[in-house]
Amino acid sequence: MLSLYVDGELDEQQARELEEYLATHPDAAKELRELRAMKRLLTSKKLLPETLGFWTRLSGQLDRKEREQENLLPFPRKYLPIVVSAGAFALVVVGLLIFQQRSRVIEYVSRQSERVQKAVEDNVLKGSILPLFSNVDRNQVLQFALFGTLPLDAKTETSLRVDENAERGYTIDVGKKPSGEAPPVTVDEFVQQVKPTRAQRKVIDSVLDLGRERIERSGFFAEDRGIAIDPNLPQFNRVMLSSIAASLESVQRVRLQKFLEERKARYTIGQLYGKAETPERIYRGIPQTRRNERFLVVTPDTLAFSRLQVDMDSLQRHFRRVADSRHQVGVNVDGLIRRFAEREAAMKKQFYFNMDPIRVLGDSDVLSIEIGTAWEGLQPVPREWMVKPAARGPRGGPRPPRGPSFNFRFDGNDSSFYFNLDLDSLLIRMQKEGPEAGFEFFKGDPRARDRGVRVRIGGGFFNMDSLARAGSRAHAIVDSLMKLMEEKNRDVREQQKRKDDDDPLDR
Amino acid sequence: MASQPPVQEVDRALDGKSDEVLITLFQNGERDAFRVLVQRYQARVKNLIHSIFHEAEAVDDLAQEVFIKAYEALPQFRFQSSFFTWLYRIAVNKARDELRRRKIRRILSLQALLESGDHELGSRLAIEPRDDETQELITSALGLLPEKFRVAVVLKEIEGLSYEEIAEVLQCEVGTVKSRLFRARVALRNILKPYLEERT
Repeated sequence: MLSLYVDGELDEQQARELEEYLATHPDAAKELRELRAMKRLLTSKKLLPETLGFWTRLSGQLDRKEREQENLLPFPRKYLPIVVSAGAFALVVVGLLIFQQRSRVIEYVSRQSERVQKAVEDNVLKGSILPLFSNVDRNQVLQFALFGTLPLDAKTETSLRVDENAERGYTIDVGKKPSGEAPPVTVDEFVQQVKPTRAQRKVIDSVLDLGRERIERSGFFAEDRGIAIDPNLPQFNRVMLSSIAASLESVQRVRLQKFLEERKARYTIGQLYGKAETPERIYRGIPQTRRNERFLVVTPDTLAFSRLQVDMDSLQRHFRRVADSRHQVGVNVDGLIRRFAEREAAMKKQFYFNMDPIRVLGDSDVLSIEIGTAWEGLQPVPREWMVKPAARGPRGGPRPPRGPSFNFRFDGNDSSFYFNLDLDSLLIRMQKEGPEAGFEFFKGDPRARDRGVRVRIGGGFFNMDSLARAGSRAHAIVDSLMKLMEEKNRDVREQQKRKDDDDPLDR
Repeated sequence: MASQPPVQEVDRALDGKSDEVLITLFQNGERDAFRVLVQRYQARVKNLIHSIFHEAEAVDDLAQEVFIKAYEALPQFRFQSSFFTWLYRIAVNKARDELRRRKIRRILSLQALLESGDHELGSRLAIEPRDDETQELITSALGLLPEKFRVAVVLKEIEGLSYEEIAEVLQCEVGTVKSRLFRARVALRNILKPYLEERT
């Protein structure tokens, strides 16, 4: 009993009874004093000093372990040369049999595709890339979960908004804030109204922190030349809100439902009653952006679905050094939209197409990326949704009708994209894999095939075989087109550079 | 490819994040997150090991092994306990294994301690000890306890864990924790009797 008493583990009643007993029993009181003195003695134990180089040593050991695991072979190491040469021989034989005719084409396609990819990278991704979102706080993450909005810059009043809609699929809008945008919401208000327990609060804080991590890795821009966005961002706000709802028990979920209704949030709770999920399931349900993740890269001339190697840590450090960084984001986003709008104005023809896997639209205020829900580039969400879209209230109203769409289309294969050299010049469609693999060349808009002039190489549809049949003359044409494209890119870059040099304030 | 950022810079970016966030990032391939966890807990792990296993020179090596084990097991971490109780469990098991391996179990049984006390240690404690001597005497007194009582008392008094957290680390019932703590204190009181009598 005394042991529990010194640890503060007795309830009020038990403690009072014990104290009464101690008052009349000096032996027990002495024992208590000794216990307390012992506790003081033990808590005075000094801590060992930190060892320098602990991590360096540990890191070395971890590296060694990982290398050992990689080197684990299913046969004794002494047989390695025999196995390798046998394997190589088998590969060569199979390669000769299967790829005798096609290897030339595959090599050619892959070489060309690398050149186009490089052109995109040179044009868009080289140079300074900055994150769209940095120093996002928990309130902003909560705001994003509830309304799908993230501020980009207060001065230019730009923001990013994500939305999901049964007809159109997912939408990402970047640009001027629409009037009637949701008022700010804070975590404190949420806590006051929903009243989570301490344990639930800890899980919610972690969910918001994981959300912040993901958001800060979800968007980048290359000055005003292009924007790269994680295509899964528009479903991430629902993931966040589902995760928060999943951490709550029925009583708090009912309060959360009220909170969502009062603030006219975009979602409503789907499952009001039920037990809270385990933290493990909740954390695992929040997909993180990995290094080398695939992004939608949109520039006024191209749309690509491309892997980006972004060193977030150095990026964030750099961004912290850039003075007035938020404002710079706003200015750049503005510039980018202006360039899209100029491009749009130059595009005289208007087309309407049913939902493509991905479309880019825009006007002078907003750039919109629409993503079809069935597009295979979207990550599957691993857990059942805890929340569902609410019936649309008056906020925001119907979306204003858009002007004509930009002439990009993405076909769902990561090596397929259109490359627009110039408005009236050539468009190239490349696809490395699948039944439509090969090159296609268009004059004008590729979606208006009956209006545009298709430049054909060889006969029939261009797949790898037809390209192979096309022979060296066709390859020479492709080569010259590629060169033309690279020259064009170089010209555009030089023009841009000259413009920047002449007018450094116009950035 | 950008050059590797300096360690301090990376840590600053990850420093403010909770254990849960760091673990999730690590499970998603962010190795730097593990570095921050190591920095956060290395001192506590080393002190825990030192309190159980008194050879100061072996503490660093054992702590390294604890973190290697944690690194290998962390991808399967299920968030069913807090990270530090999970890490302490690994550390306690590692220290125990090492104790067993080196066969340095104390010959003195708890019963013997209860009956006789350690008079030599007790008489040393009766004199006002200098600070470094106090430290040594705490270590010696703990060293006289059988391992399972020692671990319980270290987790409670030195690491400041609650009964529930100790039960999580030792994977036993809360009742067992209470009983071990009680018996450990009875034994310690006997060992430290002269010292305690001086001060009460």
